[in-house]
Amino acid sequence: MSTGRTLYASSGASASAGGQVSLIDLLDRLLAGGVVVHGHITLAAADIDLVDLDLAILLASHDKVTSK
Amino acid sequence: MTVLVYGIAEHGGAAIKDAGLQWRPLRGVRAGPLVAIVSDHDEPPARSVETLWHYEEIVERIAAGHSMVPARFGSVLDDDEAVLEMLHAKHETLSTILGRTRGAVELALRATWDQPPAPEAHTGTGYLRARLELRERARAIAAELMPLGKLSRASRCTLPARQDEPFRCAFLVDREQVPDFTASLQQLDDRLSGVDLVCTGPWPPYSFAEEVPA
Repeated sequence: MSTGRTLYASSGASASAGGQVSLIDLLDRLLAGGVVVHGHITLAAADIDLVDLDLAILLASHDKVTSK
Repeated sequence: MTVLVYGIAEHGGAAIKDAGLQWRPLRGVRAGPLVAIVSDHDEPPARSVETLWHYEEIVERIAAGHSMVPARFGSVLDDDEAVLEMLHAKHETLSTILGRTRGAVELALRATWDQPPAPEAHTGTGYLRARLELRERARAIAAELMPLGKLSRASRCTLPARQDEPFRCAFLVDREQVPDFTASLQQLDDRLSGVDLVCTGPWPPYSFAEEVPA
């Protein structure tokens, strides 16, 4: 699902980069963009969550690499 | 019971029949020309990558039949009264954003260095100078993508603090201009050296939904 988001990639960009970038772009948009309708969302909390998720994905992709 | 908000649409689009997260039915909460698209939940949905993609799918399905500005993921309010209050309080801003983004989609552009940045210098000054030079290089390359601005309604680029990422940009592009945008990006990329680019989309206009004066 996620890899279908790539509209264009440089020939030098690694084949796996597309899917991973799609996911990072998704996180960027859903967690840091959009209208904030919730009075309780604070910028700091949102930032921490984003970093945590980014880290989780990095660890997940690291696991995939090391399991090969 | 809480109300999860997916976005704010202009009244008068197609009927909303789809299901939201946790297969809860979607419904509209209307205040004049604005409708908040919501679903009811006992507990706010847990945050996971799967849920985020599902949320995105739902938002896109709604956006296919409506002019809509998406809400940040996890926008939960207590009840319909709170939703109406929010619509009234933000009426002007939301109308401006809806007008600005109607018929447009967001495209994301992310650059990576094709060669990893040089190892860090050992002295403090050397380190700072190297970072500054890298930043200036990123800025110069991003400037070469300026022609893409002509194919978009609005754009924003940031130079992240991370050294491995020169810049990331978001473009607000008319839906029918997307093929021209991609073609132009390819032409520009052929002339660029030093970075690889990945462009994803089309996304709902998340990055152009903030409350800035028109």
